[in-house]
Amino acid sequence: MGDDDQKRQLDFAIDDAVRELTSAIGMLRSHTSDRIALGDRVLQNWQGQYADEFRPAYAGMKNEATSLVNSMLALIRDLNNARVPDVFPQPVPLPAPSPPAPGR
Amino acid sequence: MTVVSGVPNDMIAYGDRVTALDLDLQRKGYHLEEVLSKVRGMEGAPAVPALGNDLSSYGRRHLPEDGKVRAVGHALLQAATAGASPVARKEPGFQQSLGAGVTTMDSANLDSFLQSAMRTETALERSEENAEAGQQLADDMNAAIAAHDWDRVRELARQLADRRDDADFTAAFFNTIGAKNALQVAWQIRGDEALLKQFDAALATATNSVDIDPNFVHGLFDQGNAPDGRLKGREWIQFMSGLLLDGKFSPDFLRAAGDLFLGSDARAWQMVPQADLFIQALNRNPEFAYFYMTEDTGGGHTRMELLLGEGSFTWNGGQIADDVGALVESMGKLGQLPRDTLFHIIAKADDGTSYYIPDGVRRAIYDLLTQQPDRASSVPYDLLGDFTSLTGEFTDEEKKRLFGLAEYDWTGHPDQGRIDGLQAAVINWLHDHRPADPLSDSPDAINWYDHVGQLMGLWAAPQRDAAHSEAEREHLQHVVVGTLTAVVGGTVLAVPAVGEILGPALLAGAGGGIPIMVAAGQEAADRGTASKLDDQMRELYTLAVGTARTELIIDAIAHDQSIVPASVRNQGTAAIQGYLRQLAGVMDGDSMLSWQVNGQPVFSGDHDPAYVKANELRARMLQMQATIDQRFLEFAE
Repeated sequence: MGDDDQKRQLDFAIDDAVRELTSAIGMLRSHTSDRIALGDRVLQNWQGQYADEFRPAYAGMKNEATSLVNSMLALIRDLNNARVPDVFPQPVPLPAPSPPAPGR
Repeated sequence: MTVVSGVPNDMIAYGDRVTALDLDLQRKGYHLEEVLSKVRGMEGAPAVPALGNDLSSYGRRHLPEDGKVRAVGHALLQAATAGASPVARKEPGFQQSLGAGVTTMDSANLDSFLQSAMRTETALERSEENAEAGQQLADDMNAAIAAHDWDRVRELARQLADRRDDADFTAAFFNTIGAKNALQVAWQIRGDEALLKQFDAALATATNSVDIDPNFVHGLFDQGNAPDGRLKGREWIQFMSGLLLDGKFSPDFLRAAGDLFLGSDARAWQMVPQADLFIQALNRNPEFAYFYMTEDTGGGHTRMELLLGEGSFTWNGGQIADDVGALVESMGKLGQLPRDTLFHIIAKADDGTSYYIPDGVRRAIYDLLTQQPDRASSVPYDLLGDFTSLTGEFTDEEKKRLFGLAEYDWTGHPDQGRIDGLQAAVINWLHDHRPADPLSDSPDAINWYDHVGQLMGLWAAPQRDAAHSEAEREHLQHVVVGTLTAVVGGTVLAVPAVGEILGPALLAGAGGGIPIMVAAGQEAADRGTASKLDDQMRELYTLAVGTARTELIIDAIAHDQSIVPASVRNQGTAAIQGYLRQLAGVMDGDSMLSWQVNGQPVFSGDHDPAYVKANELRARMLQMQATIDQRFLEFAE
């Protein structure tokens, strides 16, 4: 396999990885948002031993989710930086949309 | 007091939603890691941390913590409603109003409810995780099929095989890949029978899950989902039979399969091996098989009947005929009703020539008549007694046919092993069910005499018309005498003190007292009804009566040892034997007062208590013999 082929393979793999990472970030953000909305509501009225055990774990979950999202964003950046330029033609910018015809 | 408070509905809503998300993240992490692993190590690639694994771990680690919130919610709700009256519980909105408000209680009151809720939660989480893993594997399988990566499909099929007994896993897997891809997997692994069997077992497990999509099962039998467009007609049926190699399938699946494998196309094309695989699959679910095979399919006919008739799948014998027999036996052992229903169907299917009933089914009838199932099972232990009950469950004609089917093969030749086995079963049954007091007029005693005649008559009837050689008849007689003697001897030994009174010589071998008593009883029988019977039936009849008389005497002695008068006992074993021989052969009108032993009169007169007892025993024996006569002639003629 030639150099260009290898570079193309890497580019394909990076495409897949970035797509999957982006999807995972979306899912984790949505998950965390739901967790916070429902979790905060639960903790408003929850008192006692089990609530005391849950509170620190709950805080840890939120922090961990944030940290994971940041790590994934960093990996996306690293992966994009690893792309070899000029393996594929640069995408041609699309022409600006034409304004709607009068009277339509 | 430690107080616990919270809003149960909020906790349950949190648990339901967030645990589902935890599982989604596990699945997402698994696929992310797969994609990242492809980049990792490629030339020019940056360092790629295992973020997919981290994401999976996040979902997995927090699942129990999130699940516990739900469990506490359930426990609070249950604890709060535990004291409510049944009337209050039925009030609309009762649970809702409690669950939506803040519930407060002593934590000690909550703990027992929480333990229970946690057990449920743990099982629920395990089930959800298994389902999630099944979906993950299904995602991979779908991707492999889409890529036509058949090696990968086989590899994933092996992973499925490892979880084939997990209902949550397999149901999620098959729901996710759908019927079309499930058939594609079967198509790709069809050359590896061991793997295909494991795939089938997984499929069977899934079909029994409450989570399986009913459309999935129906889709499997839709030819539009065939994995290869050329699969039609016979090839379709042949391919589909590969799904039946192992596992206990659900009723839905088996019903759909039955339409294919026992349907008109399969019959027209004589797809016998495929129909046989279906029969074997049915046999792995005998509870459903019983309902399915005995259903009225129109015109009063059942599927069971169609498997036995002329031109049926069993017409040419072979493996399927044996397997139908095995199925009859499995279904018949489910209980009294299944056994009786099957007997009715088989007796009806037999048109009298018996040629249509395969040997496997005959063997099953024999087994159902003779085998004593586990006493702890739901099957009645008293098989012969039930079969020959006096409630009219079976007609006499049905009984005769079934005994005939059990004793003869489909070519009309006697099966000696089964004839002997039936005879032993009949005699054992008679011993096991002897009345508590044989000299009484109790219904038990009368019924027992009735059964002696009926069972011996049923056993003998099929052999009456058979063309036995003289040697075969002699052999039969020998076996009958030997069996009866051994069983009666065993009974005597088992009764405390009786063996001592009668002496060991009475029990010894062919020349001992028991055979002599049986022979005396036979002579007595010969003097009565037996003259109406032909030679062979006379032998059998007299044996039945002789044995019954001997039984009665032995039982009477066990009940009251003074039946053997002291005047006889004092003269030793030979005298006892002589007396009992006379007693066994006594008939109506015989003068018992004139009996002598060693030249001495046995009784001192008609007021001798021993004479009164002997006379009473004679009356009972004659009464018994009359009942046996009636039933024996009814069944043997």
